[in-house]
Amino acid sequence: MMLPENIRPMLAVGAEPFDSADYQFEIKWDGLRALAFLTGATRLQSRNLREITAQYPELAALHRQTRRPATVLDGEIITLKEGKPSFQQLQSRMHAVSPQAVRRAARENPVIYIAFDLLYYNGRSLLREPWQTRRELLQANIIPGPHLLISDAVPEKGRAFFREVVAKGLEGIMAKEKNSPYLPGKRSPWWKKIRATKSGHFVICGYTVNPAGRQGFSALVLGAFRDGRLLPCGLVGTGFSEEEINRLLRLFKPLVAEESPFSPSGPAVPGVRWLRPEIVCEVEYLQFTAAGQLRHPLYRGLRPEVHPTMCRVPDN
Amino acid sequence: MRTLWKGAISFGLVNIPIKMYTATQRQDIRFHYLHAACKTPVQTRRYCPSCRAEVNREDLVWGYEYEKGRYVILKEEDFQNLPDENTKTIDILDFINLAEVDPVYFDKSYFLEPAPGGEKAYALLKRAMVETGKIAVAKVMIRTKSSLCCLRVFAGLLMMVTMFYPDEVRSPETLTHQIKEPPLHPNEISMANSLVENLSAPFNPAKYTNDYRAALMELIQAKIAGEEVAVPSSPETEKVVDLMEALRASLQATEKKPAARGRRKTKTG
Repeated sequence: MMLPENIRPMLAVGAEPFDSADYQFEIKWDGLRALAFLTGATRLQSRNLREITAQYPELAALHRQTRRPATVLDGEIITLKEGKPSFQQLQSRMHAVSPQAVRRAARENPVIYIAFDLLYYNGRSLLREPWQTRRELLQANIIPGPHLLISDAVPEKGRAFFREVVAKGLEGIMAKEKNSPYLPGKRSPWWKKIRATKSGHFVICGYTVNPAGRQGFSALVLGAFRDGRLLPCGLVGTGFSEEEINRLLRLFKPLVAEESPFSPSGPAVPGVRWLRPEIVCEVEYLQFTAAGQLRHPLYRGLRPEVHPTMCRVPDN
Repeated sequence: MRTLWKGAISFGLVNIPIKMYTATQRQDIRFHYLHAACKTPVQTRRYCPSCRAEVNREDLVWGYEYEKGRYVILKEEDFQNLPDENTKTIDILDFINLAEVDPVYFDKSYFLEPAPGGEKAYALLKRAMVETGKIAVAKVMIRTKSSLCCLRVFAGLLMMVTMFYPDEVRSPETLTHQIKEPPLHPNEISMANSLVENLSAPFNPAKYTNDYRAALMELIQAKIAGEEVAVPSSPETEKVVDLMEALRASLQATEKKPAARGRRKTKTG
């Protein structure tokens, strides 16, 4: 009776707020999706099946918090900033490489694992059990602690819950159908994500420098494709840590270009340095305007797994 | 690697010259005793309490305490007249199956490498042990210590593992508490068996690391760099609990106000 080597996490489709007695609603935790394989030790696996155990030493003892070993949890690794999950703050954890850097980051920025599903328990697969049963087993058999919490779920009232969550400044909510099985690797309408803000993938096409502003760069020039042409999508100037700015500048060095990569070359941008359009990042925003600008854009991090041509100009 | 010992494997009429190397090495972090006042490493000196004087190495002899406070003195020459002294051989006694030997007998492992002239016999012995699946039980005398040992094949080399003699393995009867077998229910046994099965995995030594040593070394490095050694901070887990409770509470509050209620429930999914 051995656990599978890895499991692809189940994914959700985007949706608007709704009420339904068939669904339970919980906070959409803004962090890093991770499956926890609990045997005689703890093994953490990321969404793209990477082993990330060594990155989070404070989660190394999660296997002591299940009543029976051979258990697999689905959940999110989060860090807190002012009492709220902060994806930006988690970045320092995701980029720490050497064991020393990992331990230092763990001291400065400890993480919490928020468990929201139970995929295996005591060596038995629960993937075909209804969500409700999995949730009951999760609550009965997983013991919360300083680095492990179980996500709370509320019934039916998705709209009201969404309003409250947004009012608290959180990313959004998840809706889960109570009788649905767990479908590894599937993006299924049994699970819905309802976000306060939108987010999209954009190609970094350049950056602007303001001699009076901060060191490094002041904003990234974003682009995306429509009908095979790379079009400008505005700028993003917030959401960068100093570390991230330095990391990005190192990545930009070999990509510096003479001319704008846009076709047509688009509007003039003061103080711009153009780049070959090879790096993709994720940006959160409230709205994409008809003028091709992002409202309240926030840089969320690089998305090396996304190819530049996969970035589409968002709808208005 | 430094050669620890040179000798020969003696196997019937065959003599295989070999060099010996230690195969394992503890990686413990070692500390020195310093004088707290001046931070000087302290020295160990031999002191004779009856002459009230320090004793030099050349003025030491070996004594065996045969009864409390009474010693018989042994000199270098005494050892030389004993059998096996200076034989410099690993004498193979029997070939046996490794699985028959309980791990309690094993002590330390050494690599054996053929010395010039011994290559062919060495290869033959190794090949024969691989093909028959047997290991050799032997006796070896290294310096003034006679050991039981076994020879086996490991990582393409012959390896010598020193062993305890049977009279060196303690009997469990010397334990202070005798363990009585309590009665066990079949359900409990099957539950325990399923726990073991759930944690069964192939042995992969690379996955076991000494995390304590790594953390201790990091602390030492931080001290060398003159950094404050920070205590790990705990995440503010209770704030997440508060957040979830606050959301639940405000949701209940809005439910009481009809005005805040959403439209009739809509069928989705």
